[in-house]
Amino acid sequence: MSEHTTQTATPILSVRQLKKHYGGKKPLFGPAPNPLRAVDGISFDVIEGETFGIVGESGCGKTTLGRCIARALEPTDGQMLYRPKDEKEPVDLARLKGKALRPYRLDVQMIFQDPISSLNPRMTLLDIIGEPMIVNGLAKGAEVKRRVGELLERVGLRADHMSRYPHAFSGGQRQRIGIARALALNPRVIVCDEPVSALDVSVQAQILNLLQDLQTEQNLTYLFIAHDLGVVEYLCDRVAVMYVGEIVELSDTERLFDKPLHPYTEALMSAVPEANPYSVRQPKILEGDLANAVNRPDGCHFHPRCSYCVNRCRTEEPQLRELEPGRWVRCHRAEELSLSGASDTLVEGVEA
Amino acid sequence: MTQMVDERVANMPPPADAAEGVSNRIISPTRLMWWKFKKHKLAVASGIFLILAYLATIFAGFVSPYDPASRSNNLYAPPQGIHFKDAEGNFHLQPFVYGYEMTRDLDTLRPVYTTDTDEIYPLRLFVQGESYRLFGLFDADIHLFGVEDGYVHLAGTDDFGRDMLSRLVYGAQISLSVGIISVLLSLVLGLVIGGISGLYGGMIDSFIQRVIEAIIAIPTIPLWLGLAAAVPRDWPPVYQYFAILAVLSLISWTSTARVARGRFLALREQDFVTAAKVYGASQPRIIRKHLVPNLMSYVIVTLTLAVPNIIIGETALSFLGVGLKPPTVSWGVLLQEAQSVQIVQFYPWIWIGPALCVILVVLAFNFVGDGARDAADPFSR
Amino acid sequence: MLPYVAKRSVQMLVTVFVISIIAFIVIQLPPGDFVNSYLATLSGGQIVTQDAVAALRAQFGLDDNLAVQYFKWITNLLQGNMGISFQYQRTVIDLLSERLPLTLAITIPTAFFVYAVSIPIGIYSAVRQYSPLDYVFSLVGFIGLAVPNFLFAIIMIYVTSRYFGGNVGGLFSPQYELAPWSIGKVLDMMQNMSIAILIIGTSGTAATIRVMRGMLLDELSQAYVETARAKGLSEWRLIMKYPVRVAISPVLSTIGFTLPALISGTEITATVLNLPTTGPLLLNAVRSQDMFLAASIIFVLSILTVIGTFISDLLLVWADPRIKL
Ligand SMILES: Nc1ncnc2c1ncn2[C@@H]1O[C@H](COP(=O)(O)OP(=O)(O)OP(=O)(O)O)[C@@H](O)[C@H]1O
Ligand code: SF4
Ligand SMILES: [Mg+2]
Repeated sequence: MSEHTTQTATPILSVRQLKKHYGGKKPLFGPAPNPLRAVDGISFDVIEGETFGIVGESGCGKTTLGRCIARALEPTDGQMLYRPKDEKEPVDLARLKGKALRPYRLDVQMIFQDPISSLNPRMTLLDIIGEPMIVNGLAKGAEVKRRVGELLERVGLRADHMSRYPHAFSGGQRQRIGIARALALNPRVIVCDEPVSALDVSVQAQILNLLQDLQTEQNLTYLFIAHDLGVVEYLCDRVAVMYVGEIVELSDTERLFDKPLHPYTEALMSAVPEANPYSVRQPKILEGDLANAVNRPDGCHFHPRCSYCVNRCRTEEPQLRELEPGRWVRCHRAEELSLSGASDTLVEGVEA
Repeated sequence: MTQMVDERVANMPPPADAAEGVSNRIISPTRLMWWKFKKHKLAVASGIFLILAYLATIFAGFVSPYDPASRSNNLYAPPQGIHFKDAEGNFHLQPFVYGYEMTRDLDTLRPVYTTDTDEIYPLRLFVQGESYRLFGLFDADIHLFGVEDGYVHLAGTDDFGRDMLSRLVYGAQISLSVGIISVLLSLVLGLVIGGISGLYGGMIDSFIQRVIEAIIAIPTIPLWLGLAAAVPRDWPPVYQYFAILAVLSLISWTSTARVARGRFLALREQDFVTAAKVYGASQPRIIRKHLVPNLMSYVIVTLTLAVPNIIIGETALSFLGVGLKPPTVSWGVLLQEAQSVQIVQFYPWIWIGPALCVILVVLAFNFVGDGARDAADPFSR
Repeated sequence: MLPYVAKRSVQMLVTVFVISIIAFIVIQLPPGDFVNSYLATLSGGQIVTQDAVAALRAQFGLDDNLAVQYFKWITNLLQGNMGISFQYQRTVIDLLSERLPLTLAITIPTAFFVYAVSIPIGIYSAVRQYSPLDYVFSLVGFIGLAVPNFLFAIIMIYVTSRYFGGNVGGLFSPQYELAPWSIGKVLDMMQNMSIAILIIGTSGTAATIRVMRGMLLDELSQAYVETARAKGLSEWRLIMKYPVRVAISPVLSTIGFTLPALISGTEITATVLNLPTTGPLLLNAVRSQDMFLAASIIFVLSILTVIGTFISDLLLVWADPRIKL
């Protein structure tokens, strides 16, 4: 997979200065409050066929970013340039609405975190997986049935279960159903929002393997959101590390884990508990809470929690810059610091 | 959580049609709800009672022994008892009632009835009697029960000697249908308004919320009275019926709207709705296929619990003389008689009958509603 | 706290505005305008000058469009001029000031009665769930829920006259009706009022017991209760200390529903028991389409519930700062 990640390849998706702010509307009385900057000026390219990871603490804006890309949310500002299969010119998904957006919706689908709320309890699997096809006029009647059956078998379920309701399935099986629904439209890009974090560890590996198999088979591009570095290292080609709505470091996975450039990345990695490399719920070294996305600290937003903080960090906001080819970082001291990676503390990959 | 669901499904009693076997046990959420509801014996019994009551209103002419308007010479007669043993101690296989013997209290001139044990009127099933129209279509004269000669007044008679039991059955036609129809009206109003409120949010939402708050803050009976004042007195009964229906629904939609809005807000955030948006389902389709089916069970619960209020509302308005009026017969109209202290004190069967009907039906709807509330969310404890 | 008060006040004003519109609709709904109805109800002997009619029409802007009419009506109302009752030939404000105190004198004690009775019963029923008394209270609760106030009043009249030979109804028993004020007369009045309070309070109590019981049961199933129990706290101390306090707030905040229901109950019960509250006045007004009087009564009663709810909300927040502002 990694041969596709060179900068020369044309990206399938280029996100530019993407912003999603909540609130901040002027009320009837008084001045407008500061908005909550869930996503604040994010830019990156995704290459066709790669798995692009997005990591960060809970509440840093990962889901918001993913939902903007799948256009479940309308971005406040910025561009999302998507290059459709047969068209030379990229289209800006952030600008399109309603009917104009529809043809491109087929290409970008989403897998969700919560196996309970992601499936409509009042629909059978046939309806759940068939609806995307029907809505988009891809299939009708018996054809829907046939394709739903195929999809179910493809994700490791039985085709004759299609008249059952979701409540009859376990968490892992439900995630498979969600994956089948996402595949129903033959998408090119899938936003995976923590698809395994609600599952038991043993089930996690099965779902990750399924995702990998599907990717090679159908040349899928994944935007893989996680807060679990073990999963990210196992699956992703490149990783963006997010902190309060911004990217603080972007790199290929190998070099990132070998030697991170941003103190926040280092802190995330050191927090991996030895016993269970697949859960980073409680980063130990990270003291204090995630910065407030409404009133962020001046200067470097990470400075109150950073153990390398100097005076400059408190006043001057660092910019995202390319330190080495393909390695971007948002830190004043990135050159001088020598941070320790996490690869040695992590188990090598996940063998299912 | 999922584990729990699966276990519970496994522990559920097998469906009644498990004998078919081949269906390889597909359990729909509706069936889960039904199983859960069935566990509440009181709710099931109440449900059966209500079904029978509504059936009786449909076949009112057949169920009631007399026409509700036909008068007899037995004015203010108390209910007759059903007997199997006569005065001589002989056992009759067929139940019977005794005739009345009327005297007058010489001080008050009130009629005083005693039973005349010489007159025995056996009760029979499917007797021929006064003719009536069934469903407003067919003429018929067979009644569920009655006497061949003499008279039967199991719930007594009123000031015109009209049979109270027949009047109760016909009154149920109006009182029970007001409850259902008006609740259906408020269902439509509540779903639409609550849905708009929950879907669009913002200014529309806060405006609708204020209106609902305002309506809730207004004491119901006074507001009903004020609105009912607008119904012209000279309107024909059918118009008045629908006008009162409208008045009752104009207020009761608020609870439906609140529930619908709350559920809409909660459902809107569910991932399956996001998924539908992402694969391009239109807003109306999302509402129809994803939101409404998931909130209907909650709405049905609110509706079940709203019916008793409507029935009480009709009764109260008619009792106060600003709702339905004679010759229309409803439980509230029947209760108007209780405006007279004389009747309250000396002829209690005239008001206890309709009062009992109201109380039983209201209780039954409450029990069914309680059971339904528990079943509405089949995946919870 | 202050921003909360400000926000709630604005909300309250909007609610009052919407209520005023509903009251105005109540005035407008009956066919024909009120001056015509007024003239129609005058007995033949009375003579109304054209000028007087014109003055009336102008005062309430009956020839203007609805928006102007509403505006004139609400400004008049805010200045205390609620129009006149043509049925009683008196100003509405006059009639209200005569009748409203008794409405309040019955409703407010009833509200206290409801909470004073239902909270202890609710606590008992939750703590001793499925005990015989719990079943008794549940049964009583269901009956309270199912018997409408006016039926309850009728039943009371029947039972007292039938089995106690007494007489329910009216504010005073016959022997005190015309007597000058005395301790006996006051006691008699209180007795008659307490019957009304019992009737009106019962259904409110029934509903509130159910809420209190449910809330407390939820709270008792929380983990911290087990922990405290394990620490060996005595059962009642433990329950009163935290779960009850948590459960009580939402129960008290049901006052927004309870208060209108109680006023509703007061009015209809008063018509049955023949108590001179605004209830019988409203009923008469409605029967004779005396709409200014009817709408004013509805408006004032609603404002009272809004204010009552507002005060209790503020008290609740003041007493329990954990409530989200
Ligand atoms: N609809 C919304 N309105 C207001 N704020 C929101 C909304 N949705 C998300 N937020 C806020 O935006 C921020 C980012 O949320 P988001 O769900 O994207 O985080 P996340 O990184 O996915 O977290 P997690 O790991 O918990 O899923 C949070 O502070 C959240 O509270
Ligand atoms: S800029 Fe300063 S505070 Fe921010 S991460 Fe780098 S060293 Fe830490
Ligand atoms: Mg998330």
